[in-house]
Amino acid sequence: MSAVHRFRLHSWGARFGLAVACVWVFTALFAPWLSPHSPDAIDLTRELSPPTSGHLLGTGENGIDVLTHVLYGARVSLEVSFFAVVLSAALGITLGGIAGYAGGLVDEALMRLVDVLLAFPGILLALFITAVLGPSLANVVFALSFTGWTGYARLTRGQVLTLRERDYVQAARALGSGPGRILVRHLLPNAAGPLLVQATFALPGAIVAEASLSFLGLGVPPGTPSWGALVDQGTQYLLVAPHVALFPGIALALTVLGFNLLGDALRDAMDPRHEGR
Amino acid sequence: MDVLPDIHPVTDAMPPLPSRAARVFVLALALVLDAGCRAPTPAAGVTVLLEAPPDSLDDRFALTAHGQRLAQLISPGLLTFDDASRPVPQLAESFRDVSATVVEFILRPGLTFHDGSALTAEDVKATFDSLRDPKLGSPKRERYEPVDRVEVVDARTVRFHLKRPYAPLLAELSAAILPSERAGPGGIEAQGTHPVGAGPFRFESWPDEEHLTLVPFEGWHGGKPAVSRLTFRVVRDETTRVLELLKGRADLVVNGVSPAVLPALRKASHLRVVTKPGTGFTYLGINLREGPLADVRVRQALCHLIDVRPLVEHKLHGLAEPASSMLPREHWAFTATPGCGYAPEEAARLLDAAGYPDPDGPGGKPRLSFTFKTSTDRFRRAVALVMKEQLAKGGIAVEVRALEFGTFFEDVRRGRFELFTLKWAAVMEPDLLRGAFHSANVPGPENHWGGFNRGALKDPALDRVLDAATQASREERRTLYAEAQRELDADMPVIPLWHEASVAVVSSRLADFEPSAHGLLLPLAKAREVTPEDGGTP
Repeated sequence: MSAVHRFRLHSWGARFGLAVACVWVFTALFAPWLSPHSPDAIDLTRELSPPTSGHLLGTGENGIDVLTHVLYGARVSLEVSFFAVVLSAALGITLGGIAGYAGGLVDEALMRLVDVLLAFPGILLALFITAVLGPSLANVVFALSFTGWTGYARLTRGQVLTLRERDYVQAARALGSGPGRILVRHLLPNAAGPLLVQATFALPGAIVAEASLSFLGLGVPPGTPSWGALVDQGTQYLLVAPHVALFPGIALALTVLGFNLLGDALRDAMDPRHEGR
Repeated sequence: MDVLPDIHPVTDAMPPLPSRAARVFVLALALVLDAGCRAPTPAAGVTVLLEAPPDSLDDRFALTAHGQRLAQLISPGLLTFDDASRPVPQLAESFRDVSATVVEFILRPGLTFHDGSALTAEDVKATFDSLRDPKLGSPKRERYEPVDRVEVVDARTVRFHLKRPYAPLLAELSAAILPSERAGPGGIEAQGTHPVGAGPFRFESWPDEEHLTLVPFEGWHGGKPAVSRLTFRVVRDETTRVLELLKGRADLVVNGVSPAVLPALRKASHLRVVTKPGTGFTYLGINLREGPLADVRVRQALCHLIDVRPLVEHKLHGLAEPASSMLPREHWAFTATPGCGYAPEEAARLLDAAGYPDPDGPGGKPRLSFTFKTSTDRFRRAVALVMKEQLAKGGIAVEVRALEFGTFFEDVRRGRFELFTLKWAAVMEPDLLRGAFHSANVPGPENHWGGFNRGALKDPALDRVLDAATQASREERRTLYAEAQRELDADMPVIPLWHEASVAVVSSRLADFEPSAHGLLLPLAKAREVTPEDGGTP
């Protein structure tokens, strides 16, 4: 039974995760058309109003529409997490592939660098980077990528180490293929499954990390719609306007739950031990 | 047909307990849990919440507002300031100018320190000698540079001899008076950890930086305070402070709750919110060193585009007064100036005249673009975003950059900004105008980047007026500061925003507490603790 088939038949969790991912991407792409107000609109006279027909999820600080910021927040989450995961994966897979294939001193040096970076809590390192560089989307992506590539590097190295002595790799080598070609054409495609699962799990991690940085005031610039920034704003008004933190918090929790379930389903689908279950 | 089962109370449905011991255990557990769920009964005394711990309880070293305010509660000075920022006697009974360079203080009779020793003119001399002593290393030493010597005339009379006439000196003579044996470098540690003074409250314990306990002093010249004990607790998170007040676990917070949260506190029957016009000053700082902002017409245009009224009404819930000067309306040296007022048409005219026409009409490309730096404080960020929108309507694009406070403040000190917002915590002595706008006080290596003229205003005429005011009589000073305020109104080196009110949230266990305009804690000396026997909330 193929992995795709296994995934399709998988539990409600897979279907829920896929649905959340689809809704999230759709919302992020079409936020300008779905949102009832401009994300920049400020109306001090309506500051911290409860939900009404004009503002379905109420208003937040400076009278911003919470629904609009939740919808646009999905866009920021998508941008940041997508680019952070792509950059981390690109860097981690490249360096992990080189370490695994080259071995020796190169492997030692790269893996010790990974050890050093892993010794720091990722969010602390990201906090330090954004504190130094200042809050901006690009800096958040850079900070998350800087701390996120190590997982891919370790995983890729492990995969390459197990695959590099396989017959088809020996054959490619005997036919005169260079290390680059062997890595790109033979090793990495065969290591793609676990890496895809890793990326699926990294996505909610990046969403939470962006929200955490924005919650601490070191994520997106002020005024940029972000779930973390909105929760941060709402915590100050929990007693007078709980809706400000509640709705973005729900969006954040649902998205992270959805992607974790999707990651679980993918992992199970890629796992040959689940064959026939 | 199904038969509905009998409905039993939950306790009946529980399986039988194996023994009497087990029953006793469950009962005890239930009691413990119940006790844990209820709000603990507050201990006797009054609990005050602070947002941050004091840096020192020795006034000579305290630089934070909390440190200074607590130090003054334990060891007050010769003078304090009333709500109009006029110096009024505290430990002194009276003071007078003997000549242009000699000020004389007469102490109240019968003053004693908390340890029972008499407070005399010798202690006053020792205190100010220590402040001026480089060996002590007080960060406030330079403030006493104009003092030539301190003379003890008799046990209750002390004279300050100045090197030159220096009117702002009185502001510095509010420093805490210490026992002479503690004034020298050898007394720093004792005074820092177990301070002794002659204030209304006596130090009891300071087990860690989060907790401090004071008890009333019978020998206080104003009579023993009617509070059995003062406990200060540091609660950094605002929501937690609010919950502590609502749960009755705290009795007082001064200027530690945002205006937006006050409606929730006003609803609580055991709390009252007391306000008073404050002396804090919030402003929009401008870099005058180069670029379009060096042109006064651009600065005036910015001022005409910022509408402070909706900010005061909605962001501050009316708990502020729009500012036209650094000095609040109640200040003795305040002078009303024309100010700029919200006038977008006038702003457009000024920008056209300054050579920044609107390139493509309203809503298109901006006339000018600036970076607006602020700290990551939520309120400051929100205000910056409102100003951004207001300025955008006038064709001025603003990028708001929120920076961690240390980075932000360093940028401001080093002149690495175009626009920023900051607040002076309390404006008492009008000589602060000289600190903030005199050309000699532009931050630079010569003053270790500590000058307060951060926008780098250089106006020789203003410098002359501010210098003259330091050597003039009180009436002359009022005239000179009026002239200075008019000059600043024309120069517009900063855009005055508002003076925030002093706001205290007080529980029903504390009566007669009136906040000070400066946010001082000394009004606690006149407050009264209400016990359950008096009808207060236990």
